[in-house]
Amino acid sequence: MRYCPFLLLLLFFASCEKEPASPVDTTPYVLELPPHFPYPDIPEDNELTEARVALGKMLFFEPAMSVDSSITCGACHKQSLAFADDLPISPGVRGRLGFRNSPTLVNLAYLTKVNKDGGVPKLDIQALVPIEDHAEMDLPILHAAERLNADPEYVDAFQRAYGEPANPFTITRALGAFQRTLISANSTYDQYLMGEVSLNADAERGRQLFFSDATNCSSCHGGFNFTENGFFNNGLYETYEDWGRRRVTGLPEDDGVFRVPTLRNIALTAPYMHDGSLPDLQAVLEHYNTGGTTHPNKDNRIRPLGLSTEQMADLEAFLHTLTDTSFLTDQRFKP
Amino acid sequence: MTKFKFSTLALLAVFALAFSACDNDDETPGIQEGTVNMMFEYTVDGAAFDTTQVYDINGTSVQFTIANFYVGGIELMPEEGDAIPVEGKYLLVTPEAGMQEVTTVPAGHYHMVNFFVGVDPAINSQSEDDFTSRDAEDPLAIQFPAMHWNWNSGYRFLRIDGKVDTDGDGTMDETMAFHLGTNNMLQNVSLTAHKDVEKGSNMLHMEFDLAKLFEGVDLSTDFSTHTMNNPELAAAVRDNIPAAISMMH
Repeated sequence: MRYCPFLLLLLFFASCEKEPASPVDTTPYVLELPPHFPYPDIPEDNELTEARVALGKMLFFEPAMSVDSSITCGACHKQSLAFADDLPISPGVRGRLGFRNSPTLVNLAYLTKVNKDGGVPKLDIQALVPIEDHAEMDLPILHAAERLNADPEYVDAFQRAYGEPANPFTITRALGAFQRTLISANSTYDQYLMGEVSLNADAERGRQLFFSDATNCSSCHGGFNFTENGFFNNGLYETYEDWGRRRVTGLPEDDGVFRVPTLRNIALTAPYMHDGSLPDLQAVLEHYNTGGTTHPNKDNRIRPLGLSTEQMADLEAFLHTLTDTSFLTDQRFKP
Repeated sequence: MTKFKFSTLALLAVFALAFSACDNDDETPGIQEGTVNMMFEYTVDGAAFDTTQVYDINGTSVQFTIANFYVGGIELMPEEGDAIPVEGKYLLVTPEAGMQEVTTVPAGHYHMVNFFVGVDPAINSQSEDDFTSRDAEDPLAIQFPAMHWNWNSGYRFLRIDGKVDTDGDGTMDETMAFHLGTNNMLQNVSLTAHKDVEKGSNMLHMEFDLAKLFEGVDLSTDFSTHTMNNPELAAAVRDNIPAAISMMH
């Protein structure tokens, strides 16, 4: 009798809400970061656990996530290329071409707005874009969930990770969790920062140029991740077929405005720009050295720089020090 | 008060709470309440809506496949007193949806019903929560066919898909897609209802006329907008929404 009110109280509190899901396996997954990398914000509803990261990796390499089971996320995001691709536009299902270059997936944990136009407010729902896009995997997420829930291995993995079956929430969260672990922080430049190596002479000259007011590179590509996550027009075109951020905001001042990408592993992620129109680093450096076109939205930091051939070569040598070879072969990211 | 009496009292109180927690009070003595439902009858210039049917709209042959929209911000205006808002209630209206329960209100005469077609800016911005977190039964959860944009995490407020015959040769040659979204596309609708809500179930029966929705739009040339790529066309359709929805009885 004494305990009855408490039992009833419990009933009362449990009666109106759906039962909170309880994942079976809550072993935390801790990111390994060097001192110059802050620990990223992890959303409360998707704390990193071993089970979630493992599930996300399964999904990342799962052909059933595409409508005809022909491609996986890994088809356009190859580990050997820092989870980017080497084509201007990577083909989706049935060879369909979208209109944007496949980006690197390194250090996504630090992104504030996702996609080149910032149209997705958080990494944890970004996976909806490639899964559902007609020119990518072309599979409605509810159909993806049905497929996964028909597979006992996935039923078990989703229970362990989230205590729920596959659904739009758990699919996108698991992929977000795995992608958050794709940390690249062991480039030659990182080793240099930690005093383990020194840069050779041309890379050192390039480093000084990169961080100088003469080039202003680091005013957009600054910080430990070589991006301040800003959105700018870099004067690539006078007329943009792809509106960039204007596609999201509808504002003319956002025409041709795209997210500034990280430069980590940049030597591996050719071709460059939102549409993959510049084939190599020399072409990119040439673009910035000439100051680009006269688009009204062009950021005023994009202006003729007057760099010599040697200076551009030095900058390129510095950009090569941002390559993290251990990331490319990290067993944790392999299928 | 003895210990025994106190625990009995606590027990009763908890019982009372537990039983009152989830339901609206059905009846307060003296005040009768009625359930209000909404139903949208799809028509094309008075003809019944059917996805197998080809319609002539402003001289262009059209066949529909999808005609869905969100309704929110519903409020009922009684004869006297303030409007009764139905907080947080959304309906996903489709040709198959039929009657959908909206709320329970005191019996009496209601002269107006107001709502908007779309999703309010706070929910559409997805800043705190998002549609992947919602229960499958929630109309704002991810839907198939999709009522959201995958590249821009907002809702499609209204989605009309189909085929059009652009050159009049009898063959449907272009895909029609009117996907209206973003906060600018929220459209208020205000209808004279003159509805006597009685105890039990009551229905607000409305007509949704797709011919009126495309009034002034030349579907042989303007057959597609995803809002951002053609905001003028999207706005023209948005502005037609109030005329396309009317109270039947």
